[in-house]
Amino acid sequence: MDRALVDLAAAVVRRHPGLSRRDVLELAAFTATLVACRDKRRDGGEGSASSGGTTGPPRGGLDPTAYHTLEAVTARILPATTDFAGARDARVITYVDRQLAVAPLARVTPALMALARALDAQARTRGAQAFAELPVVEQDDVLGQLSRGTLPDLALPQRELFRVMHGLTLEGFLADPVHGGNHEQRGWKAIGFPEPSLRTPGAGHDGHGPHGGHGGHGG
Amino acid sequence: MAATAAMAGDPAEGAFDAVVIGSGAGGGAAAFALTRDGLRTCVLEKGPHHQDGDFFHDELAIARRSFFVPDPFEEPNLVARDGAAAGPTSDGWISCCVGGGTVHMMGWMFRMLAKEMALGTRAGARAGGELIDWPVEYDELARAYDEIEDLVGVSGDAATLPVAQRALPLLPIAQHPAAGVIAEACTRLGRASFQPPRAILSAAFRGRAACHYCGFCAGYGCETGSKSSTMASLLRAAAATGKLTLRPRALVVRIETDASGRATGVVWRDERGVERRTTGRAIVLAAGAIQSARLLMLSGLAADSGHVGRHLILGAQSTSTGVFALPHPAFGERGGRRDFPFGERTVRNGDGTTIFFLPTTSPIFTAEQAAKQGDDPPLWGAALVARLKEVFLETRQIECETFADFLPHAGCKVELDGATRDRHGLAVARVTAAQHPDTRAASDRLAAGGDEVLASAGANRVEPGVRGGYYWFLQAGTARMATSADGGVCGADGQVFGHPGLYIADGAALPSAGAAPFTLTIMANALRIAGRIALT
Repeated sequence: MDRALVDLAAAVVRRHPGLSRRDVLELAAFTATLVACRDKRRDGGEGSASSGGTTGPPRGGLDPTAYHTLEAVTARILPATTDFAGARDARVITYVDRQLAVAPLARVTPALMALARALDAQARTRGAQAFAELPVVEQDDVLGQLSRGTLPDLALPQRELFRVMHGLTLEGFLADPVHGGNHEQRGWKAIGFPEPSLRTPGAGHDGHGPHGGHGGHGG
Repeated sequence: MAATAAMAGDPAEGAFDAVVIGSGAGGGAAAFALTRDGLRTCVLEKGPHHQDGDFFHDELAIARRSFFVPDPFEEPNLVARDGAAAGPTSDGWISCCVGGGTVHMMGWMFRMLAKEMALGTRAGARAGGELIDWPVEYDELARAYDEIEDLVGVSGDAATLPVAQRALPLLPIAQHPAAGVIAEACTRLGRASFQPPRAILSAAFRGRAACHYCGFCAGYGCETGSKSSTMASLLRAAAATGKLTLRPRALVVRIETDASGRATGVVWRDERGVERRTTGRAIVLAAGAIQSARLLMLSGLAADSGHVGRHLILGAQSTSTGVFALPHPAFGERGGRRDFPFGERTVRNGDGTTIFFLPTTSPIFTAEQAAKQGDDPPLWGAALVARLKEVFLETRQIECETFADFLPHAGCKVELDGATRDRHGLAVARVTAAQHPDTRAASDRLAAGGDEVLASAGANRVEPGVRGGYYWFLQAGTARMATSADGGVCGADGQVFGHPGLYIADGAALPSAGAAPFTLTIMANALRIAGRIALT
């Protein structure tokens, strides 16, 4: 069990109050309806196959501007290399967007939207329209400052918000694709992690995945 | 807020003989003993009753969100660690579901040593009355250990253990070759080592299936009931007696007493927030040491003793990771072999217990740990990619965790926070956590010893992890047994001084917990205490 990210979000919200409990419940109900509609076409677990990439951002917790800015953030936190899929390939932002629409992390959504706007404002001081349009070297420079808490004129818990985005990026890369990221299991493949057995509840003892998981039945 | 105008009675007719609050290591064992002895018993559990089929292998859903513990936004504990300001956190919660923390536990099952039950005698007046002896003879506890190991199913080889005991009911679980690598290193260093007994079934046992080595064990619930949680073992046996009424999603908010102080029943809220009252001749408190103390304080009970919430014992933690480059004789080629998830070895010395084991099957957690750089920002960008490749593809790891004896002291305690209320409107627990200097010193020595073993085992690198840390799932001491009210909250029979009929049967009752994981001790002591209630 590791609750570090949720606890970190609670610490951030303490300094940058988020949504009320009622707001979260309403948002969760709204998102559940959306997800249910989308999932009617689900074909067995690859979550967001028809969303996020070509049809524009799905309506999760983020507005379109924040969605594009934070997508670029995830892509720099975990960039792709020739033999390693990155956050963008794995559609981590789809995961992030969904998580930010439901409890518990919906509470930190206002702080992350504020962060996205602040990153775009930084980009404008560097002559770009938005963070995502900065050259990656400059994106990295901005993120490096954020990670150390040294972006100027920004009254947000910078270091903590960087850590929240970092944690969300790792989760979106390596969590089961049913949650929206790890597209086509690209995160699992990148680290050589075999598809787990029993990915969904209720499948019982015989419900091992197609590869039989990595059980060692006396082998 | 809950409806309070009309208090509904318990849906079941009549009073119970016994009401148990909580269903984890302590509550589950208590419920077993009570129903075995013919008492009509109601168990009130705050969380849901999962079935085996509810468990699945999704790290995010099971291990990282609110499947097991409440969110800190809704039901925080306020924790102040080592002098830092108190903040809201999930730390301090033990799993809220039928079976409690035993559902997702690692399941290492250690007995306390006789000398560990005599902290007062050993330490003398050094700690100003904080350290006391158990008011229980070791032999009595040993008999309860014998019984509980056989009831829940513990796998291991008793002949290899450092303290003589009778045979365990099941042969040891199968091991990854990594365990042999550690065993050889221990031998080279002249340290005795053994495979830790584990509450996982190495063979079919009492109608339950053997472990199928899926690897999704610690942090997860077992879909085949092969982990010996109280849900899979003791509570099923209790249900089979016909004497058990199990009420999940029942939040106890108050323990009631009559004018003489005798416990008469509990008030709890059902899922819709409707308050109900359930009465019983014996009320058995087993909500986990932090929440049990909180409930006593919310109920205004035993406050005069001055001991409720004090003497908090947590697990004293240090961690290290040994990194072994691939290919490696024990771990295989690039990517590593993944069969046999368990590869474990234990060293026990005067400072405590050191356990070497393979990382749990939790890729997000592993990646998060790999990216950590102390207080500096975590690794990101190209450095993170390189690190993930190293951790998952180019090396394999053996983890080392140590458990020192956590000496209770005045600076480690549970109180009610007057200013913060949870979503139920109840004052939350404020936990002050700190380690006694002797605990910290022993923990650091254990860490150094563990690092030596990893290095001797041929680790290319030993990475120190946590130093002076806490295992929050291991909690004890906050309503401890003592020979009199001067020293604690309850007597050797678990009954609270001044409140006949009220018993403590979880970690809270332990005056000391020993230098090893103490889940088995909580179970054994609860069995011992509850096994006497029918006689009174």
